Amino acid sequence: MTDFEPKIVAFLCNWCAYASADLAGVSRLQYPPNIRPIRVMCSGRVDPVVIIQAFKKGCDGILVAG
Amino acid sequence: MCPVTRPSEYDLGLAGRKAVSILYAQAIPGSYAIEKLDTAPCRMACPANLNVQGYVAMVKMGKYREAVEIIMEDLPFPGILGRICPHRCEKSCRRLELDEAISIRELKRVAADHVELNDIPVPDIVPRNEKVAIIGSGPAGLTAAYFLALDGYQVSVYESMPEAGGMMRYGIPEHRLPRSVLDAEIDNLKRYGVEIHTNTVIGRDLTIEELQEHGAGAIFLAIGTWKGLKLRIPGEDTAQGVSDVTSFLREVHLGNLKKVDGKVVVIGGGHSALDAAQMALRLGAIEAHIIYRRSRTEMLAEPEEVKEAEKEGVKIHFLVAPKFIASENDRVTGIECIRTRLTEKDTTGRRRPIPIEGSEFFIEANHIIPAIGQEPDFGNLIQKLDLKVSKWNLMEVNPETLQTNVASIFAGGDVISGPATVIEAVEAGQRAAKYIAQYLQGKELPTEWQEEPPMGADWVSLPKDEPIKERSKIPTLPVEKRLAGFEEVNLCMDEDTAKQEAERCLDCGSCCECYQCVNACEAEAVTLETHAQKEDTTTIDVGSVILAPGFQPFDPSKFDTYNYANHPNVITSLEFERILSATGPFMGHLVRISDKKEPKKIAWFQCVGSRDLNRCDNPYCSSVCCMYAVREALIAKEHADYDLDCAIFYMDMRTPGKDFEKYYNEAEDKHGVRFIRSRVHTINPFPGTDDLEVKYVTESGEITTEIFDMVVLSVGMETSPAVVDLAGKMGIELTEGNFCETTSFEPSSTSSDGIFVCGAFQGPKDIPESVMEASAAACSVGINLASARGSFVKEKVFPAENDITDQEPRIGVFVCNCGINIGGIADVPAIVEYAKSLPNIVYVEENLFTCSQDTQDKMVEVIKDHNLNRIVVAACTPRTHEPLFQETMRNAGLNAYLFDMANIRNQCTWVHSEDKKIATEKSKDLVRMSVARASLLESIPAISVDVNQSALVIGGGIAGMTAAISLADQGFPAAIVEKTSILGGAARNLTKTWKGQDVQEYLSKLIDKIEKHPDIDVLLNAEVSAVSGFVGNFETQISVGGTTKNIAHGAVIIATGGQAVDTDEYLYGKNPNVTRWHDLENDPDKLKTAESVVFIQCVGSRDENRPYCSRICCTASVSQAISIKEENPDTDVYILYRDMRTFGERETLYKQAREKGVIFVRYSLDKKPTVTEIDGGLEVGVFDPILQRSIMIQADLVNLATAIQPAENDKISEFYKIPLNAENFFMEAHAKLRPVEFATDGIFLCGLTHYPKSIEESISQAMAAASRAATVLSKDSIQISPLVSQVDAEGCIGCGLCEEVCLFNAIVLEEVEGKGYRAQNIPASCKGCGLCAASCPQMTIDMLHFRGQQIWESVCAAM
Amino acid sequence: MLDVAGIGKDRLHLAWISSAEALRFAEITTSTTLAVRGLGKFDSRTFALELSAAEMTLGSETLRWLVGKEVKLTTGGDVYGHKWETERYESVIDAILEREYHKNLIYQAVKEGCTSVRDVSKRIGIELNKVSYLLADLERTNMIEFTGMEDRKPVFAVK
Repeated sequence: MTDFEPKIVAFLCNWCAYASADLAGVSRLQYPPNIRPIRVMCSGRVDPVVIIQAFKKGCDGILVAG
Repeated sequence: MCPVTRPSEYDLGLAGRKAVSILYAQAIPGSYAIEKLDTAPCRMACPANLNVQGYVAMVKMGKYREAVEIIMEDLPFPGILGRICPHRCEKSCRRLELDEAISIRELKRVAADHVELNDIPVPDIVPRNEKVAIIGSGPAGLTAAYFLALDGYQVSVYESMPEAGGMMRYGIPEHRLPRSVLDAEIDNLKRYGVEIHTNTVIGRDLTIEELQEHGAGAIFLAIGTWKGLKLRIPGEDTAQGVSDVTSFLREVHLGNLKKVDGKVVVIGGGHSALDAAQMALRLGAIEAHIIYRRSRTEMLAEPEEVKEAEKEGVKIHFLVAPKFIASENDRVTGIECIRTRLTEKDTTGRRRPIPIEGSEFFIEANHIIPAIGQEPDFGNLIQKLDLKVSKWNLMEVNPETLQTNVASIFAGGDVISGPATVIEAVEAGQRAAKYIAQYLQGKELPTEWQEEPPMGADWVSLPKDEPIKERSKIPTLPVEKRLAGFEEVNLCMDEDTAKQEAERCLDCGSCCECYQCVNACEAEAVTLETHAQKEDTTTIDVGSVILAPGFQPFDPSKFDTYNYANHPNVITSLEFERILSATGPFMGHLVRISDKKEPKKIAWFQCVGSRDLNRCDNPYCSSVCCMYAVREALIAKEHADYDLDCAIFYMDMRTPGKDFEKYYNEAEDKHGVRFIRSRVHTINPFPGTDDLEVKYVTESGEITTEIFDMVVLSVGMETSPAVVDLAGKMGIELTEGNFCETTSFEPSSTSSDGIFVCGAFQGPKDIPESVMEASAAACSVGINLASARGSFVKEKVFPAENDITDQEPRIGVFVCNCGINIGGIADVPAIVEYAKSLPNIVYVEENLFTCSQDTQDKMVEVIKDHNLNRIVVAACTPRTHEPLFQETMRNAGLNAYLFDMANIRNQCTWVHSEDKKIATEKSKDLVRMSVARASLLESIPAISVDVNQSALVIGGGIAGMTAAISLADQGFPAAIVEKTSILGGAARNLTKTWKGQDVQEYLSKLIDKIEKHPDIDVLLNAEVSAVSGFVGNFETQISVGGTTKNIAHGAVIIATGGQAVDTDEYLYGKNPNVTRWHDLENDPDKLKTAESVVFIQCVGSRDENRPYCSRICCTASVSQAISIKEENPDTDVYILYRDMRTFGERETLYKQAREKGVIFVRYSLDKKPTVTEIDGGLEVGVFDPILQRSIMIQADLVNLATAIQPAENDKISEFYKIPLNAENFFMEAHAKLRPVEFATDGIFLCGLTHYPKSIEESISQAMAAASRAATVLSKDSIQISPLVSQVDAEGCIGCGLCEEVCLFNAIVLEEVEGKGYRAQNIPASCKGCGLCAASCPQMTIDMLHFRGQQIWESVCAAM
Repeated sequence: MLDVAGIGKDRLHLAWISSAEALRFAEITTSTTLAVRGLGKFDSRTFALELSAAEMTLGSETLRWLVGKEVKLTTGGDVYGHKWETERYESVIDAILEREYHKNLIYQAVKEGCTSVRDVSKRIGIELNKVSYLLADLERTNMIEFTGMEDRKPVFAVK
């Protein structure tokens, strides 16, 4: 399983986590490329149902960062 | 690209930056600047002004071709000068201040030797018709030819000798300058269009007149000095075997003289004397002597060259002069010499040689070569022209332009100066080319010498820790190999040595003008023009000025006891901040400087450069250091994944800001930061390690030592000398501590009308107060300039928006290279190709910089031409660039929300730069997700609401009144709601401020103004009873004495105040002589008779119930104590305190009190003082930690500094949905950055209800609140974000959960005719967070622009 | 929820990162990736039933109300004015979540074609008596109906 690269959807709050991701870029910090970020205005926007649906759709993990 | 590395100011020198740099990644403006200091001294020393620093930097980078290109900007002979230049530059090298000069000449040679001149492209030359004739093909003539040819002139050079080069060929021997180099560099000139005619003697084969007749518009005489000067001693003329050095060398180089027999004596001390002697040895001479009448130090030749000649066997006789030449049969047999001595320096600074009588001696010789000087040999050249010649037989010219007395004839080089160096001839050539061109263009030439503007010496400072690096040795040919032929003696250094040598350069001028950045900048933002930009002075007409020049951190280098200057592991707090920062020099990894090891123990020393008159003249407290030290300790602990020991050495821990005390307590109790009340004596390196031994004295007087891995000095703030100077120029008064003088009642006004101040220049302070003051200063300006409000505003008009409702998606994708930021990592063309394959895509394009203005203009065209209705930009972050592109959308007639960004820079190329393939693939994914989402985007109309341009102020204390009047003075009506029957609030108990200003006088004036102000409505005995509405449109119901009144207003300012609490401690309320706060000073009779007064601090503050510091009590008690002492110095005054928190310049009061004899006794929470009644008086007991025993004080009066607490705020909090903290103070939107606002728009706060504070801070904050409120009230209507929730009325069942979860009162249940309750969104209040949508059990709420379906499409596209 | 459904909560990571915490962002993305990588590929087909049940549960009014009321219950008080301790609130929500989820799982199993209590129990791994107890509840809320007896076993179907 070591070669397995998971697909992870990341819901990022525009004001916090998305901004920190931007800064991570500016700082040229390197991290694994597995996350697929989706910008939301607040992590509260993320309906738990959507998370289950995303799993149904086949994603391997989810990150919600506010 | 940039070869120059300078210490980064942002990283406080802990890391480097380039000469072209951006201050730091998030800096605003986010653009690069080039640091240019004064021209490096080496360049200034070079006669030809060569860009030495530039080509040395290129050699350092191994860019030889670029180095040669830089050299060739100023001369055409890199290889020649790289060998024979006497390098004046090296004598001015600042490296000499450290060790030895850089071997500049050799580095030039290294560059030249690695470059084939033919590989350097000739620039585009625009040919001109004018012809120039140059007579003489020496360095002066050829340099002039080179520059004139570059300018497009048709240049012919005439040379009398068989080959070109002048003295470079016929004077300088081959072992110093190989002919291959000479030939190549002269030959190279042909590529520039220079024609050289050899064997052509002007004055014989052609005349100057003929040249002119053939069209030469100007003539440059560069004929050099070819006639050797005579010794003027007997025997010189008659003897065979005497030949001047010029003729000797010329005959050798012409091949006429191939062998020298016997012994040779050369007379002279210059290069040519050495050349002749060395040449003679190579031609077979048995001995070669040089006689020189001065000593070694006066030799004109370089010492290393003299040494090399001696190595080869040249015998140099110093302090010897020739007397006569002996001969036999007309053949030289030798020379009679006499020894000399030197006089003291004469008026010209020279030491003259005087013959010593009787010291004659004889040197046998077959050849005598005088090398004592040369003069021009004019031949028949100038006979008819009447050109002026000086008494030295040199041409006379204008020294600036080199023009002779005949306008079209110029002359330069040795012919005007006498024999000089090649580099000086090059300078003459440059100068001649410049003025000949001007002459030919018909421009008027200057008649006098043009003095260059004086060059400054503002160079980079010599790095303190620069190690000694020896100058690289130049390899030479072994001596035994030399004399056999003419092989070059000096060899080329190898590349590594050259690189090391070049690295010794200190980059004196910072930017070295190599212009590598110009080539690198694909956006053509850095050009030769922008490079040449200089600071300029502009004048701006303004109505007010705000001074916010900040502070400079104290430099602890001068404290030798702390070893900051010498020990790498003693750093300042700011340097420590950089170490902790993720963008810092160690990427946020906590290490110490010396060995980059993780420290196990760190110490902080407080009050470095603060509260210290003895060593640094800063008597004040810098206010912020305690708090930042605690924070640094905690963050350090967080960064360390091991048990890090943090100790803070302090005098008083001053954490009087909002919630600061809690932070301090947590640091100690929860995180184990050690706080050591002490005085630090010294820090010394601990022998054999990089550790530090700290010696300190505890409060009880014990001397202790402890070892730490590193020490952080908590440096204070001070006003920089430049700001002091500025203040002087503006006529602004400063305090004793050099901060701006202000009054308690006008804290943002300077002593100069119309000039306002904020931030640390007003007094040392933390961020929240600085931000407040900034807004307060803005408020002052707003009042000052109220009549001019909006007069310079221009409104932008956009074209009408297209309705795209029924259109199929037609998506355009713009993929940005962002220079190399994206394009350098990801395969942009592949992303473009991929994007073309996605559904609904109509147009895809790649840009170098999508955000550039020209791309924006083009984008508008593309949108129109292709009828696009959705745009995706794959570039950087929407957080910074979305507004720009949205404006472009609107310019193209599209709604701003039909736009999406794929952040392939910040989320791909910058963070996966190590794997280009992955970065490309992820970029494609992000583009796909964005396009999927874009298909579903819809137009969202802007929402604007009208604003009721008046305010409601709740609370009639100083804060409330100041806020109201600040708004009313700007033209915004305000209503004050005061629950009591009188205005004034807590200030009614005060007599004077800490600056000694009369509070009651101020208060009565203020109340008077308020009552008379036409735009202020005061409601006394009034309370808020209901609230509705939102920013711009609030409606608040007020109960006034039993009746209710509705007030409509656009903004609210909460200023409900606070008061000192009562206590049951220390006999308060039981004994009339135990009072609190201002009771004492308001009862002067009682004070008059008192012999002993005790103040007890922190009564009810900083304990379990109120874990906060009331901030103002220390200052208040100290002020009162001073007044008592001033009234009656014999009264004993004691202040029992826990930490003396007289922050900022209040510290001077503390000092004054001590000087007046007020006795300060510290107590701790576990050993509180006791107050008991005895004999009708009071006895106060307290444990003195210095004496280490309890003491008893007989007191007539005891005054308690009880805690300050806020008014009852529950109802207001509920009405406006604004949060309170655990102690019932209102919680601002952001403790540091938004200190007077709430997260809910249109609601602001100020005064004691925010936190305990002094009058001046309350006034400042009130003005800040007014200023922020004015940003709402100054508009007729406000645009609000239309990204709000949307309720589907059909699906809604009116359950009300959304109303329940909404934090902003932005969704409410409303009764709908016949349907019961339905949720209704209030766009003006909605923040678009989407909590309601995520909570709705019926799933009937959606968020505009972040619809469930839109998010879902992104999720699907991510798979 | 993910734990109850057997998917494992480690597939969902929650984090609070402030705008300045770039390093933390990188750390969290790294740790999340490592954790999920360690769990291996998520095969949604084997969890089809569980996912559908979980989706139903999280979309249900009961759960949404309870979650939405958290702040009110724990700081404001319920309709009787009692403030709930956070622990109590959490245990209640856990219990309800599990019960609702199991009901939905049964519903999904019946929908998939299981007809008897025994079949359902076998399919979803919940003991017989709990299944029948919850089935009764599903019947009451009109989601599942009793369609008759077959071979002395009661037969159920989705309504």
